[in-house]
Amino acid sequence: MSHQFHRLSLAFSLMFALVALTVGYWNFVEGPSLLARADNPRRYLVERRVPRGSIYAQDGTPLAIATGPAGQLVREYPYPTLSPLIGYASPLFGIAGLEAAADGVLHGDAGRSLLEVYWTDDVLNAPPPGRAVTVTLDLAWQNIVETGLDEAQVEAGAVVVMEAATGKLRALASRPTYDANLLADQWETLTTDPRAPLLNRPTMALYQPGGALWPFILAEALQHNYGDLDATFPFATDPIIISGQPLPCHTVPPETALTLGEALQYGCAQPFTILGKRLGTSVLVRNFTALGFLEAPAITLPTVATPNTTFTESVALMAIGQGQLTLTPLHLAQATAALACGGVRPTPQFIAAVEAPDRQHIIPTLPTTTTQIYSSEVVSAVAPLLAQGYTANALAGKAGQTNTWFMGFAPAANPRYVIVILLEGGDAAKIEALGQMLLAQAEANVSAPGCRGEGGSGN
Amino acid sequence: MNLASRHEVTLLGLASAFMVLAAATLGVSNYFRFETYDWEIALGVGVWAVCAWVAFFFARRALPRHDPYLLPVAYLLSGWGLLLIGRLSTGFGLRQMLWLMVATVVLVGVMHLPGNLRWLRRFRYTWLLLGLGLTALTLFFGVNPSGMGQELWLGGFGIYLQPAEVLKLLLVAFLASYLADRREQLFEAHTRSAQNPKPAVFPTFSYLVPMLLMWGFSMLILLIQRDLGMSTLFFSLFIVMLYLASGRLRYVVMGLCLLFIAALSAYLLFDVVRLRVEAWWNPWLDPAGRSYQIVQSLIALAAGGLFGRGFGLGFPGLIPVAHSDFIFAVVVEEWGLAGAIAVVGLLAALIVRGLRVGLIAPGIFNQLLAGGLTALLGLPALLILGGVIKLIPLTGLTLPFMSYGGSSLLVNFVILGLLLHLSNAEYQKV
Repeated sequence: MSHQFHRLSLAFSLMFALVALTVGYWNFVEGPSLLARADNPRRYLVERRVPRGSIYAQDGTPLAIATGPAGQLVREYPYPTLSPLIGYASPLFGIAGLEAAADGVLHGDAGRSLLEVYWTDDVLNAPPPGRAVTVTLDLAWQNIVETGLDEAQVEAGAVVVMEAATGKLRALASRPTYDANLLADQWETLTTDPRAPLLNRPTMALYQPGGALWPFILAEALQHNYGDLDATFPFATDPIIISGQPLPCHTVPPETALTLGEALQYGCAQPFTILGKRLGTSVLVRNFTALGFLEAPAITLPTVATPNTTFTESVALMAIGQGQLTLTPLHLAQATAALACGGVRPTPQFIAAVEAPDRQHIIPTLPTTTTQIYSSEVVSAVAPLLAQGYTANALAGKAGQTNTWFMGFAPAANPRYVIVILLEGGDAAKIEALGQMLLAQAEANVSAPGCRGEGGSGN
Repeated sequence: MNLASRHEVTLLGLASAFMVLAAATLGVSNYFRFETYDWEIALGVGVWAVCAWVAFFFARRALPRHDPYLLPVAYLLSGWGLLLIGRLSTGFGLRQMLWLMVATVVLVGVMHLPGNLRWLRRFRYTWLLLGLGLTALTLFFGVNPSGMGQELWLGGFGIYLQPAEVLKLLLVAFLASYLADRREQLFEAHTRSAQNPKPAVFPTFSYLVPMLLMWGFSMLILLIQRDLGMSTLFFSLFIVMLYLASGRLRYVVMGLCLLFIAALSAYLLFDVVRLRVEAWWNPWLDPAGRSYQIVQSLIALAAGGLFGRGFGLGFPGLIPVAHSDFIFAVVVEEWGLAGAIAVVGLLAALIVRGLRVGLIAPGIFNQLLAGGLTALLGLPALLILGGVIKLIPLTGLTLPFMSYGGSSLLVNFVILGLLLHLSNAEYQKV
């Protein structure tokens, strides 16, 4: 009977060997993808005893810090209204916002060699603390924007305040907002809320540009010598039919023949369909690409861009901004800066400094765009039309809903700041008031450099 | 002291050194992580050491020629398991420690039983019916110590026993005894010999009946209780015993086919089985709901790396019920692939030594008993390890010696005692 025992012994040994091999498979072959899963909270559980790097505003005020008793650190956010922007990093709820985009630095593993990470983190189990990130947010500006939004009782919208010369983002506000300190209590309601409070609208929400696109169409037309600011368009007040719905002028003009400047002022789309037809699809697409509309802005924040970049619609729809192209307020801010600042589009910048492993601070250098999109003559022709602020409507995808845009820069002669506001469910009076208030602040604030050369004292 | 005893002392000494080092590591980890001193760790190691060396002392006295590998390996596994359970939960750790003490006492008792185990062989029906009766009681008086889930335990006031564990032992004894007595009659019909030039395919049915009946009763009770892990174990055990007794692979093949058919019908008939198989086949579909346990187990396996996170420094508590079924995932996360290979190696050593006992034991009954008892250790180990690493669907079995579970530990130590007995048997007057 001995050969049964030998065979059984062999069978058991083989099966145990198979078990060991399978463990090796899960460990090495599938290991990295398993550990990267969203439901693996280990990366953020470690942060309960090893502090995550803090996030600071430009003036050093902390926006996110790790506090609490040793071994039970929690993440605290002193400015809850910034939650859609800053995001959260939690073992329970995952990671979002700036916390996600800068996770490598904040957690502490960016810039360290694989061998060092293996030795200190895996073998010694003594990972170093995370490193700090300073963003370009100016809390004074942010407070002005937030107060303005609250006083105007804005329910859903976004504001971007960008330095025209450098592209630094000085204020980003999103409504509705939430409090990242209260995620544990409110997670269920936040994720099922149809108004999407978790969405960071300035960088992540795509909207139809509508009238906000027309200044750029105008500039492009002037660039190609197709348009003339003094010419009148006889049928300027004709409504444009979009999917069976007529789109009339924004405000009723005194007469039916308007110049391009007046068309912008009264929000009449018809002249721009003519300009669009003259320019043609390929020119428009080239323009969109130059303005950066077709790609997500490369900043250290989650960003999006319009999903479909092959334009199959009519040129008329494309030119009046009611076609396939959708933009975030950030896209519009950088394009407005191009119009304001002599035709060169700045690269948006959000990170001011990053702490290096040797505890020194490094200011990241970004590639800057130097392509001249519009000639200076075009800019000097179009910019004054926007200088006092420009309000535009856009029909949203949902039937009947209009969104309102506001674009502006100040001071007009040597712009320091670009302001972009979007209000969902457009209220022209509200946005005009808010926009003018912000432009006045931009006039008064002398700390930023002007984009036409002189002035500025800040960093 | 002869060579075997010296080997055993060395092995037990190495096991004790491992326990002390592991406990010290855990103490240091806990201190740095939570700034606490855990005196229960020292208590656990102390109790374990006393149990192990006392058992060794009595084993040397009562069974002078017993196999030197079985006792140290079993104690090493149970000690490692004790530390792991204590790391997960002090309450469960202290309970497991108490059960270890009881199991050691029972082990010493088993080692002092009369040498030839004739009483086990003679009264096979009595023992088996006793086991069946106890298991059948769970149909009426069954409870679950955690308050929810399948009611497979008997007991109260904090002490619970799972009769199915005792039943599996008694079933092995019954099968070993029956097959030893009826072997020739069963298998002569299809053994080629001078009197029987044309062998039949199947064994003589009339002799098969009592065995099938007894086995059938066991399966019935288990299926009514929906204890599918135990049912699979009993079925596989039956196949292994038949194979050992007959030496014919056809029983293994037939048995596997029957097992497949049974599994298929169970999948089609029972929701519990279908859910388990679906969770096994594609756990990524519902990682937050049904498959949470297996997905977290796989993530824990991946988090281990080569040498593990370090004892006390991982996050195995993320796996629900980690202290019983998923103790292996805890080992892999904190001890890495090295720890996994160590555990698998120890279990394999246990099985190989146990089968060797069967090889050298005098008499068919002793051989079959040793083989069956070893299978009782090896099959649950393979089934639960396979489930934890997603090789096969999860079954509710426990890892021998390591998992939390009083009745499981107790019965496994009885098996150890019987194997030690059998390894000594060739030197006894039968």
